[in-house]
Amino acid sequence: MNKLIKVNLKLMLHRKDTLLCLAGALFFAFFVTASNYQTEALNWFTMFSGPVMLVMIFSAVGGLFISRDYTQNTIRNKLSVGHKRIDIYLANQISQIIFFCVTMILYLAVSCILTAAFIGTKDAVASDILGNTAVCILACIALSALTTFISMTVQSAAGGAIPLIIMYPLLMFSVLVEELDIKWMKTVSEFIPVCQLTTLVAPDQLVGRHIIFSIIFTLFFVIAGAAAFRKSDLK
Amino acid sequence: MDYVLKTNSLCKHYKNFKALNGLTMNVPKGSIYGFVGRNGAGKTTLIRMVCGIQFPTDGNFELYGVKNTDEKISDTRRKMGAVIETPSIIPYLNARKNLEMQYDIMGMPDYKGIDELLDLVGLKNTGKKLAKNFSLGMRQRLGIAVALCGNPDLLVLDEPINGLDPQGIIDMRELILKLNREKKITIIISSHILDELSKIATHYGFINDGRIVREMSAEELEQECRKCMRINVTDTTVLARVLDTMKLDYKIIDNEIADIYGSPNITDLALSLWDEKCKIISVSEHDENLESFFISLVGGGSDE
Repeated sequence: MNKLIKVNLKLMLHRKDTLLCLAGALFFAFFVTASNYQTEALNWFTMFSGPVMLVMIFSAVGGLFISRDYTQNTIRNKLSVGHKRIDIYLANQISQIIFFCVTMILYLAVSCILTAAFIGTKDAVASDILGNTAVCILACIALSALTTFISMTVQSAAGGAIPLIIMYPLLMFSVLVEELDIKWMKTVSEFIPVCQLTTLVAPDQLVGRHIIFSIIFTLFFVIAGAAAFRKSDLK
Repeated sequence: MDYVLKTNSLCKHYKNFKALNGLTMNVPKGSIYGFVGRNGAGKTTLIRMVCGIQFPTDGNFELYGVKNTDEKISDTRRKMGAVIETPSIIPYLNARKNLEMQYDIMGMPDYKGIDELLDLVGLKNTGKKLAKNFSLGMRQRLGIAVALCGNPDLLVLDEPINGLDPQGIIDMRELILKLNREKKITIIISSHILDELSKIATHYGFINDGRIVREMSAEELEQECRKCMRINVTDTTVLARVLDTMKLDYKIIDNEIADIYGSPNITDLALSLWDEKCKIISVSEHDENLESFFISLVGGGSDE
């Protein structure tokens, strides 16, 4: 499996879209922090307004990266030289986690540095920021599992578009939860990583619950995806 | 005889469609096995199964003696390379980088042998040109180079000359022969261009409706397809007697038709038959090629 992860990461470094994603995240960190500073709205949680938009882009780029294995038929090169299907799936999943998390961590790190430079560290409450960061990273991992599941199941170029399309109803759902304030909807939204991300603009009061839900979400999609891929016929 | 691939009543069903319907075939080691069949006969389905891309509904196969249900089949697949329909290459990398990626996928310790491979397929001088800018022939050759990474003993090529220009076809033929003769690689090749296949194959498997209808060596096929004189007479029993006397090689088709091989003296034959009160109704030259042999084997008509 290590060989496959190495190949995936090398290919990501050869792709312009993944590199642009990385550069875009850094630019976005600067843009969010600077614009909030200008409007005097900058605090230690404004940086958490960016991840919602970033994960949508990550899902599209990450999904496209996996679906290229099918559109270019390179998945056959892995299978016909004897790689096990479970290894191929997990290698793709781990590569996606690395892509999502490294980019997000860079975004958060640059945002932190810039926020500290603009407003100082006086109001920074380390436990709250770390809690939000943990929820953000775990939500990223959960969404990477969803992206991998979709693109490995769809097995076509649509694997890049569907994860992005799915984000919109999830976002709409999180808006509805805020507006309608219905209990069961709130409970469901706590389970959805995109909805979790929308709550991070203030210190998260449900860090533990959100982390556990994200882990369950991740495990569900990884296990379901690997099981489906193990038995599926490819072209 | 050693076989690299043996299939046993292999079946693949999709709802009401039977892509493979009890296919049994044997690929001898060191051969160039021509896999001949119409569109939809099941050639690519079989190749996909052997490569682990699809699973059989029923039946099994053995690759180098290892059953497809055995855990070791994944390791055994390292002995084979395949180009299925379109070459599996990464378009945004050059030829060398494509091979490096395949070496990485296989976990090779270094990139030794890449230059040799590029030289072998005639892509040594492509430099930084990206695979997406390659011609179809170059892409096919790069696909073969990718399949040859790790020095496989078995190479599976699905329609490798589809869409190639005449020079590309010649280059591909020479490459296949070189791989078989110099590197002793067993090659399974499916193709619709039967004339081209007949120039390289040492063994044939004719597939129709998901079954092998006939398996034979090139010598056996040559024997079946060799040039002959087809003679229509009133009684082939008499003809056979006369031909035996003249020590000629022949094959009786039915009561009135027979094929005579070699170059008989027509006057002598006609006189001998006249003496036996047997009339010659017609004589024609009969020359069957792989194409007509295939048609006679599976029947003409639509494949839809």
